[in-house]
Amino acid sequence: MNAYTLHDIRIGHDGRTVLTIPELAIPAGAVTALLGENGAGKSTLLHLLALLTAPAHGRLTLFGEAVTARNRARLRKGVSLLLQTPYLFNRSVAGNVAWGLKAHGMGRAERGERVREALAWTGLEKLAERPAHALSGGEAQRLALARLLALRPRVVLLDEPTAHVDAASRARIEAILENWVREHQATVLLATHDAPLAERLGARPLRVADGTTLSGP
Amino acid sequence: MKHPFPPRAARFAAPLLAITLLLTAISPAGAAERLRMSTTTSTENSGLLGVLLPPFEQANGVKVDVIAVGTGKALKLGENGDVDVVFVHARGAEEKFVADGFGIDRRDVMHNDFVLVGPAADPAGIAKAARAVDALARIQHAGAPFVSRGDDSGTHQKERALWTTARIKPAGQWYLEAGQGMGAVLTIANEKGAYALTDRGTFIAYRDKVGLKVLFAGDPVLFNPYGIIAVNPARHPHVNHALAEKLMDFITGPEGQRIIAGYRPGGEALFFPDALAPDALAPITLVPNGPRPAGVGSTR
Amino acid sequence: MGIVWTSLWIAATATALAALIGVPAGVLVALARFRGRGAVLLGLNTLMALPTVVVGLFVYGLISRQGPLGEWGLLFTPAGIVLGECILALPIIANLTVTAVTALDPRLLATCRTLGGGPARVGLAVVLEGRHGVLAALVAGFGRVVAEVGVAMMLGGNIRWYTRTMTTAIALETSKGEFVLGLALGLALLGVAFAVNAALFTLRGRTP
Repeated sequence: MNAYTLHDIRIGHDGRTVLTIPELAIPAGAVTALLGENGAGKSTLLHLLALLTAPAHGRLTLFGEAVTARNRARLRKGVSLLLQTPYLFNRSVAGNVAWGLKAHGMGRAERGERVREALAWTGLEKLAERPAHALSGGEAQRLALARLLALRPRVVLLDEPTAHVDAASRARIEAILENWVREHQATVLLATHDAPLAERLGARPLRVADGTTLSGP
Repeated sequence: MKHPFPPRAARFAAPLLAITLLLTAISPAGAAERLRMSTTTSTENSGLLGVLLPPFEQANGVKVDVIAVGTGKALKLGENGDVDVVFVHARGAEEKFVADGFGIDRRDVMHNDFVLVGPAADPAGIAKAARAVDALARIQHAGAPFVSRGDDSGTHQKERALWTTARIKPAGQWYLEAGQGMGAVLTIANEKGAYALTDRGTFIAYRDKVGLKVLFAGDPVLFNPYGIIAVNPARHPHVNHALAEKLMDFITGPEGQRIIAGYRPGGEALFFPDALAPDALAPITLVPNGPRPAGVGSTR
Repeated sequence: MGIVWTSLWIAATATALAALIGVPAGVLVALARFRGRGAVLLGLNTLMALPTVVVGLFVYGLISRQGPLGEWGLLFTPAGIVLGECILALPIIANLTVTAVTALDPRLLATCRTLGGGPARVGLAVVLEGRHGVLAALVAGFGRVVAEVGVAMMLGGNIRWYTRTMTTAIALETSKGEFVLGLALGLALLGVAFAVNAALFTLRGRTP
C-alpha cells in the first residue's frame, strides 16, 4: 500500500514553478530518504506532503484519499513534520509536548501519560518543567521530536533532523529515530544529505535534484 | 474537540472579562433618577449651578446632569430630545424653540448683563459712547481688534444683533472670530489687546487673569435674560417632564430665586432673579454689598 | 479623585471591549489570505488617524434620541463614552496586533498546523506567542482613549460626578481660565498613565 501517490504535481512559489513531480508513490510502513543537495526542493516537497502547502497543479492522495482544500485540515492530523530548526512555544518543555495532544482533542489524564512517554523516549524527563527557550540546540531538536512523536502520526516527515546540531546530539537523535522506526510501523520520510543515516534507518533512497524527483536508487 | 475553550484561553481572556465586568459593576450608573439639563458654558462656569442644584437634588433624591455647551447646541440637544430641560440666555432663539414646538412652558429665571471689555488704554474710545451700538461703531471706525465668540452662543447672538442694529457688517482684519468659549475669547482678547463682548459673570471670574477693563456697560440693550424651558413631552415622550417641571418650579420659586440673589462670589452679585416680584426677595436684593452692574441693579 | 477613577474605568472598559474585538480581528487579518486584504489593511491604517471629534459626531448621530440607537438612552452616559472610545481604540489595537503577529516567526504557523491545530487554536497560540506585541497594542489603545477629549466631551457631556473625565475637566478648567488647575490635572493624567504602564511593564517582566 502507498502512503502517498503524486501525479503531475507542480508547486509554484511567487509565480514560478519550484518543483515538478510527474509521478511518484511513497510506500506506507517504510522509511524513505529524500536525498539531494540543499535547495534541490526537498523542503518544498516535505511541506507539500505535510499538507501545509497546496500544489499549483496535480493530484495528491494520502492513504488512497485525494487531498482537497476541504479535507486538508482533517488529513493533516495524521501527518507531522519536523522542521530543520524547531520552533518551540514560549512555555515549558512538557507544555510544548502537550500542545499538539490538546490540538488532537486528548483529555488531561491521557495527555499527561503521553507527555511522560514522549519525554522518556527522547531523554528529556528531567527537563519537563524547564522553559523551552532555555534548552540547547540539540535539546530543542529532541523536544521538537518528542512533541511530534507524542502524536503517534501515521506519517512522520523529517527535514534534515540532524543538520544543525552537534555530533553528540546527532548520535542521540539518530538513536531515538532508530528505536522509533523499529518499534512502530510508521511511514517515515527523511530529507537529508547524510547518506549513512538513511542507511542506518534502512531507507529506500529517492533523489531530488533541480526541482524534480528522480525515483529509485 | 473535547475542549472548545481550553484553559490557556481562559487564563488569557478571563482577566479582560473580569476587568470589564468589575468596572461596569462599580460604575456609578443608574443609582438615582437623573434629569438632564443643557445649559450654557457661562452659566456653568459662573459656579451658580453648584449652589443652586444641590438643594433640589437632595430634596428630591435625584441627580441633575448638567451638560454645558454653547446656547446653539444647548437648544439643539433639546430639539433632539437628548435633554429634559434647557436653561439658556438667548431670548429670540428660546422663543423660536417654543414656537417650533420643541419646548413648552418657558419661564424667566434671572438676568445679568453684557459688557464691552477691552484694553485699559481704550484706543477706540468706547468709554465715551452713549449707546452700545455707538461703542461698536467706534471700534469699527478705529479698526481696533475685536474678538467674537463666533460659535452661535447666546453671547454671539447678542453680539450679532448689536452689529445689525448698528448697521455694520463686521468683517476685516480687525474682526476675529474665535469659535471658542467665553473664557478663551477673553484670553485671546487679552493677548491681542482687543475688545470683546462678554457676560459680566465670566468677566468677573477672569478679571484677575486678564488686563482687560470694563469699558462700556449699562445700556438696557445689554440686558441678558435667562430662561428655562421644558422639552416638549408631546414631541419626545421619553423625557422626564414631571421632574423637569419640578426643577423649573424650584428655580423660579422662592428658594431658588433666593439662592440666585444670594450668590455673590467675591462679594459681587452675578445674577438678578426675575421670576418673582422684587419684594418676595427683598431682604437680599435690597442690601447689595458690592458694586452692581450699572443700569441693571438700579432697575430693581 | 472621582474624575481620575471615572477616566480610568471608562478608558479601561473601552480598551477591554476593543481588545475583545480588535485582537481576534487583527490575528485574522494577519493570518488569513483573502481578496481585499490589502484594502482592509489600508483601511485599518487610515482609521488609526480618525479624529476623535469625528468619532464623537458619528456616535452622537447613532445614540442621540433622533438616532437609530436613541432608544437605549446612551447619550451623556459613561456607556456612551465607552462606545465611542471603543471605536477609537479598535483600529489601533487591530493594527498593532496585525503588526505583532506579522513579526512572529514564520515557523510558528507551520508548527501549529503540523501539530494538528485548527484555526481557533492556531489563533490563540499566535496571540500567546506574540503576547508582548499584543500587550503593546492594548497599551497604545488605552493611551489613546484615556488621553482623548473629543469623544468624552461630545458623548459624555462633561457632567460633574458622572461623565467628567480628566481630559474634559482639563478642557473645562482651561475654558474657565484656570490654567494652573488644568495643568495640575494634566500632570495627574500623566501620573495615571505612568502607573498603568508601570503595572503592565512589571507584568511583562514576570512572564517570559
